[in-house]
Amino acid sequence: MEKSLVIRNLHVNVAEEDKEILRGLDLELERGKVHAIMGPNGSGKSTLSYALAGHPGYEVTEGEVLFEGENILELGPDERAQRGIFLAFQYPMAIPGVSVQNFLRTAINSIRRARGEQDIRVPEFRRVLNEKMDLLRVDRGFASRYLNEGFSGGEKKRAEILQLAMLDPKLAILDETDSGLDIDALRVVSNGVNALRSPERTFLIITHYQRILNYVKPDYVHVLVDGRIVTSGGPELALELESKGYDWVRQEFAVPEAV
Amino acid sequence: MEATSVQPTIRGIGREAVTAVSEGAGEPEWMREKRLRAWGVFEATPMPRPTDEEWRRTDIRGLKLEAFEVPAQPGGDFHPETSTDHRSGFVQIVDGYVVETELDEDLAARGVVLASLEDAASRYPELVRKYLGSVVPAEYSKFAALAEALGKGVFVYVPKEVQVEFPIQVSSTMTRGGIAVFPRTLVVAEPYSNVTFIEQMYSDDLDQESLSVGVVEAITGEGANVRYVNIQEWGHHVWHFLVEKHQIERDSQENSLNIGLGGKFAKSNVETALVGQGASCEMLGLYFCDEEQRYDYHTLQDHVAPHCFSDLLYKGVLRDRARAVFSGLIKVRPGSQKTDAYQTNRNLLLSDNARADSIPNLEIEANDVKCSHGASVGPVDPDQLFYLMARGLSKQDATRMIVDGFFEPLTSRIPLEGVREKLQAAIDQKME
Ligand SMILES: Nc1ncnc2c1ncn2[C@@H]1O[C@H](COP(=O)(O)OP(=O)(O)OP(=O)(O)O)[C@@H](O)[C@H]1O
Ligand SMILES: [Mg+2]
Repeated sequence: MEKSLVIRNLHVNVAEEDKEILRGLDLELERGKVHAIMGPNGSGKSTLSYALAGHPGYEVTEGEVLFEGENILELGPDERAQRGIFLAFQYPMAIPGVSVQNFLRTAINSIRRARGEQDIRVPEFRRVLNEKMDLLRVDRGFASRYLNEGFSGGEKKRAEILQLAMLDPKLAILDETDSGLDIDALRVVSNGVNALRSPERTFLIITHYQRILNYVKPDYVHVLVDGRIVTSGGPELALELESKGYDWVRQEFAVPEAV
Repeated sequence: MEATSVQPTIRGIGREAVTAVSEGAGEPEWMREKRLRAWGVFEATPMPRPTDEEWRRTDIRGLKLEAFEVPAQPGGDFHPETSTDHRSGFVQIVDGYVVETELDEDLAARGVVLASLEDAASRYPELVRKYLGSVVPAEYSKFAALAEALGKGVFVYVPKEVQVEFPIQVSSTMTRGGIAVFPRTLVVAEPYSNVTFIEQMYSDDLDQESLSVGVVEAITGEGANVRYVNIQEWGHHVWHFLVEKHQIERDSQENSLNIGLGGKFAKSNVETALVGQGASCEMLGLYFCDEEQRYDYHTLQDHVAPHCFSDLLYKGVLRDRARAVFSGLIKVRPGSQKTDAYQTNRNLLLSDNARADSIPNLEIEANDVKCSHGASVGPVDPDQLFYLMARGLSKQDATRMIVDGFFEPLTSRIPLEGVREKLQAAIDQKME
């Protein structure tokens, strides 16, 4: 079994408040598989995704994270992205005055240059961009809009998946990409994600709801409560969780109270 | 009087330089009188002191006017402004001297004038007499008086209803340190005419300090449409003073864009007086200060007539130990009902040692108006930075992208592509 990501005993503080959010988290992701993480509000899901992406506001105090065998904790967020880690943000930032296409081309070239590859040629970029926009049923005019500025909630999420499609990462972390999507948009985004599945690409899908997992079938489901993975299983665990709720998890797996 | 010597004598800023400039240009008597009168105003006006309200945050005690030489001729070794843009007219100025003027023949035949001010004073005395100093009189300030006394520059005249299709560009450069230049621009757009005017000042960084003291007067006639762009890219050795004032008449439309990148020090007074009802103006500003640069902007939206609209947006980026002051005033005079006036100044600080002060002011003497102002000073948003870095951009590239986006609403409004590209290159260089 090939591991894409191995997390051991990860402890993470919010740097500003010196408050421990992840408290000894262990998780292994198998390459090419879809892993789902579910957990109650405030359990630390976004914290995990930020810590993996290298957000400077989240301080790793203990533990290790190996991505494709390499310890990434000392790497900056740009270097992690260049190695193939992608985070679809729960709350994407607006960058006024920067068009989607300009941003995407710069991002692609940053990653290519870091790998010693040539810049993407403009016609090829256009072709791939159009192809991916069609896949995600995004209007062509979208490419010249300013990144996330004035985007609706659904448009922001689609823009995140468009970026995922364009940047071709090895590990894609989706932080509540399904929240705020209506049924049609959810189907489009899920189809997009399914089209991007490959033996080389691992997915970590963070969600509260079973809904998206009906479209994007997970191979594994992990439950995150109070800063730890308390149990893992197959797709059936998501269904069980949905019917029984997190109190059941807390009792069943004797989650110790946070101190 | 001595016989003219072959070697030009070195002259400092003084009454003698005023007469010499006037004689050298072969100007009519009234023009020389005007200069001498302005020189009198200059002498009678004290240097600004740190205790003057306008100069509280900007110290110019390091400026030694007597140290500069007024060049008696242009230097021969300059980088000419080259461009592939479509232009209706072009003027090259070197060390304060107009060395080249070209204007579309068709426009010339229709009465458009593009000439050095000195020539214009002889050839179009009635126009120059009427307008020169009518918007910015010598009494405006010590520096305005100095520019009137020693100024040389460009006169643009667009007759009634004439549409100038492509921009007119003026490029002004300096070839050596230690000199003082006094660029003076007069733009007169008669009713229902239309013109775009781009003025650029540029030079290398030189060892010795130089001085530029300029005045721009632009008159937009009834129903006319004027676009004015001023780009300051002097080397880091230049003290730059500019008074730029627009007077806009009934139902006219005026857009100004003031760009500051160069100089050691820059003090710019940018004003629009909306004197006829229904007039409308947009005042944009972009500045990027680095190293030890000091910028000081004073803007005024002067609503003299009712039913006018003005919208000001100035955006600045500062790095290293640079410092900028923005002080903007919206003034609504009695009787200027139904005024719509907006003012925004935003500053992005790229280093802990950079500093910007933003001081918005309203002075409203009418009761049926809509006015608002906003100001901000702050560092790059770390969440924006992280978002871009999480896509693979280095911190520097991410910052550059945020800066480009910050300026985009301004750079996208530069009417010549070649000028826009050069500006982008200059900004990129400042980001290095
Ligand atoms: N930047 C921050 N500053 C202060 N507290 C933070 C910060 N980020 C996270 N926290 C706290 O850490 C805990 C976990 O937050 P996190 O966003 O990781 O939860 P989550 O599982 O993603 O929740 P949700 O399901 O609501 O998105 C919460 O108590 C939250 O308030
Ligand atoms: Mg979250």
